[in-house]
Amino acid sequence: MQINSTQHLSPSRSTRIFARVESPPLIILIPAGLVALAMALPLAYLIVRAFGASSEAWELLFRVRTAQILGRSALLVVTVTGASLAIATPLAWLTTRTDMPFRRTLSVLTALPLVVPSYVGAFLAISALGPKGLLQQMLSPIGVESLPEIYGLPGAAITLTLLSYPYTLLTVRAAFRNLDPSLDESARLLGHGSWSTFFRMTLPQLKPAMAAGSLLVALYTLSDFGAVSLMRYETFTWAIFQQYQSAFDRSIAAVLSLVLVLFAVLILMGDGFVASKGRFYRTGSGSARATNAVRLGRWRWPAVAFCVAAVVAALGMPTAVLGYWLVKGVSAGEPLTLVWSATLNSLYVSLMAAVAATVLAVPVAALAVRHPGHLSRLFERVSHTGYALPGIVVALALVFFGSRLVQPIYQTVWVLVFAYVVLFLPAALGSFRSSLMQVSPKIEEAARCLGHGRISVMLSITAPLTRSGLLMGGALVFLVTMKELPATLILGPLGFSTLASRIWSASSEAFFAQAAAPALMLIFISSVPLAILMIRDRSRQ
Amino acid sequence: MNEAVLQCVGVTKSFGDFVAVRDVTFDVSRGEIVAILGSSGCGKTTVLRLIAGLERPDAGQILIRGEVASTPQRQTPPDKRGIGMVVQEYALFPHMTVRQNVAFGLNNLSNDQKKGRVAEVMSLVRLENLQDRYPHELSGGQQQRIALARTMAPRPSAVLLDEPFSNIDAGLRSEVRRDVEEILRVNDIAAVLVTHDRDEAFAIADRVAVMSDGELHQVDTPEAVYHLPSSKRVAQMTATCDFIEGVVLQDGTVDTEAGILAYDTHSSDIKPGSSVELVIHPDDFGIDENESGAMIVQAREFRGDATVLVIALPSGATLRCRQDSHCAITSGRRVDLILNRPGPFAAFSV
Repeated sequence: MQINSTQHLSPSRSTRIFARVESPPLIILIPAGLVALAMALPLAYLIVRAFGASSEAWELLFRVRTAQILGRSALLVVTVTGASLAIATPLAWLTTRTDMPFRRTLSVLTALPLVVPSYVGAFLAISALGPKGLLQQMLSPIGVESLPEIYGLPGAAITLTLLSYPYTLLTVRAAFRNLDPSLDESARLLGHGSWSTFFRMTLPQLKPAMAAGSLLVALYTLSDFGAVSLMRYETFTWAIFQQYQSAFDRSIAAVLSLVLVLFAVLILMGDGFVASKGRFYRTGSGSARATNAVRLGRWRWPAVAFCVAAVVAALGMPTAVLGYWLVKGVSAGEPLTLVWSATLNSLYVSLMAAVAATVLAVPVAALAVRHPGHLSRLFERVSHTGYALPGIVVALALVFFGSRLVQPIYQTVWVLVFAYVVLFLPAALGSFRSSLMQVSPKIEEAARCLGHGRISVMLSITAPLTRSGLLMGGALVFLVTMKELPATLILGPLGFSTLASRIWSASSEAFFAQAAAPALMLIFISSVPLAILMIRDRSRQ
Repeated sequence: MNEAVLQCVGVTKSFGDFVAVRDVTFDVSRGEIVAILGSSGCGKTTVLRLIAGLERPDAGQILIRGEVASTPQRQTPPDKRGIGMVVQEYALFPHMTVRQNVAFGLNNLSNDQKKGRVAEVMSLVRLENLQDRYPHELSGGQQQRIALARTMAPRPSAVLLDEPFSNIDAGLRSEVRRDVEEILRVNDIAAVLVTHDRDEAFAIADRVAVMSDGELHQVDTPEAVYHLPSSKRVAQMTATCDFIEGVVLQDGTVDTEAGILAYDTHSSDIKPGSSVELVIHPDDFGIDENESGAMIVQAREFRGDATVLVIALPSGATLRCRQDSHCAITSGRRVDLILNRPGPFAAFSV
């Protein structure tokens, strides 16, 4: 359900590029249709299951408890989204438009919490700030007997905010970089002061990016399972998992899942409402000029302090606590060998998911970009289903589907990888789509006129020019698959443990020392693709 | 010499409800340069894309070297047509060096042959020493010539050029244009060039095809479309001009405010007694200061290399007259018109 930010940012270029009008060739149309069909499968099956559910299951839906769960989920989503926006917008401004010291370093560091999975963040928060946690142990000599309660909404909200604000940060930062400085300058020349200019010119232009980032955060929060479960905050994902594990009637889980999907769709529609008003891209044709950095003056060091505080809370503290547990675990004789097999398993499924999602994204994106029409739009929309589907929902749908209809591959790695692809195909699609849009069809046509056939042009022109988009998409899918928890837990074959599932099983029983080594490994491996993404992003500036 | 390399016969193309190209018929002979002149959005680029095989016609057909290449039912794919195209943005492959770009269309040759041909066309465009550069390291004019070299390399039987000079600095444009023309002439290649700039069309083309709203209005030599346009529309597109009304006399001249003038026309329904409009170009009349003249200088515009005077006729109609830069006549003076034009004026019925 996490997704790359780029697809929301690139303003539609299709208006300028003359798309070929001839009907799409079957060689693209058929694969794209098959991908769309496969991506629609989990949701379709979930709907079938939910409507075939017993009447008791539906009655359950209208009980007070369901309303409470709904309320808690909504409260969490609103809190986390708002808090992320409040942290990310100033961070984005400080790291792009000011003369703050250590701007470059801080701009990388502030985005890094992206690699920390929510369940890792949560277990670290609990072990540090929870009852009998590290902080309390440190404070007890000076007479502090108890800390404010961490479990419940505060813990879940703080953890999720600190780990998800980078989504908003990255989108808003990109918007800051794309702002046309001449608009701000015109506002100043028309007699608006810097505050008035910021609120009346800059901020309104950032609205779409803020909405896009908030959408990512809201969906991330809604679909989060790890942090809310560890923090014992009973939201939808938690309730669904409980029903799945304990109830005889699994269709209750299906019904609850469907409500969760509706919730996600509602959030998506809200975003469309905000983003569709007005046009928000550079109007002039002049080249992008670098903006003059805002001089912070005596506010320089408070600004640095603010950024450092965010980095310390979201990155420094977790790392320190993790280090503490690692040392404690190793000195207590915790076997590190177990981590290696889990690491290999994680790498294996994540690589498979990355390759599969990248390959499957090609026909869908090619159809959407080069042959726009009703059918290609439909295929593209359907292929984005995973965007609105929380991992736990996809996993459940595949459990139903697998145990009933495709018994032979149920409980194999294939179903797990399929779930990852459904969830994360949108990331690969967005990345490849935007790189394909950079390749003018005129270039392909020029190659055709030089005597090369369709396939030859694809291999010698289109493929090399879109390679970076494919790689970026793959890296993103790899990154989010490494962190994915609920689908891994539910669909992983018996005895197949990944880093995520090992961290989960250890931390859900408060064996924090056991969770430390795999968590560190997971963060380390996820940082590699993120580093590649950020380096590429910077080299394009 | 006069064999047609390209023939468009009644070609029509619509996008949805919008008819981009309507019933277009023209042909291009070997070694001939035809310029399609029209404002943006008139369908001229679509004509090129149809000839290249990038679009399929809804009606009519396109023949290449006498063979049917496009019909609404079937068409030869662009890679099998042997036609080169240079687009406005040049569409150089950004991930390939200049050498690789130019060699891209030579896939049937051996490596040695490729090398030889690349060197040949690179010297043709006089950029032999840039072979290892990447497109983004070249200037606009150089990119333009590389695009042309790439197109010429596979020895196409015809070349299509879409606004080839519009992205080049005005100062360099005429030089690059002469280079391109020379390359096309030396290789005896049929070429169709699309432009919105009439000076460009006149300078390079053997024939000019005047196009608006998807239709070809007139295909003729530059002199003919300028001096004897087939319609008022063509006159406005090919020249700065004014119109004066008059009545056709028995002897085949026209009686106007500016005098009795000879006329010629494409239309068959102009007879003695009919009212017509004549096309007047700024260089058709000279002027003479005369205090009892019937015309008044209404405005004066100094342009550096010329002075344009706006002359008001007694009826209130105005004509523009181009004088040399030393012309000292100021506005408000009374003048006479002196006929400069040796030939007849183009006439349309009113």
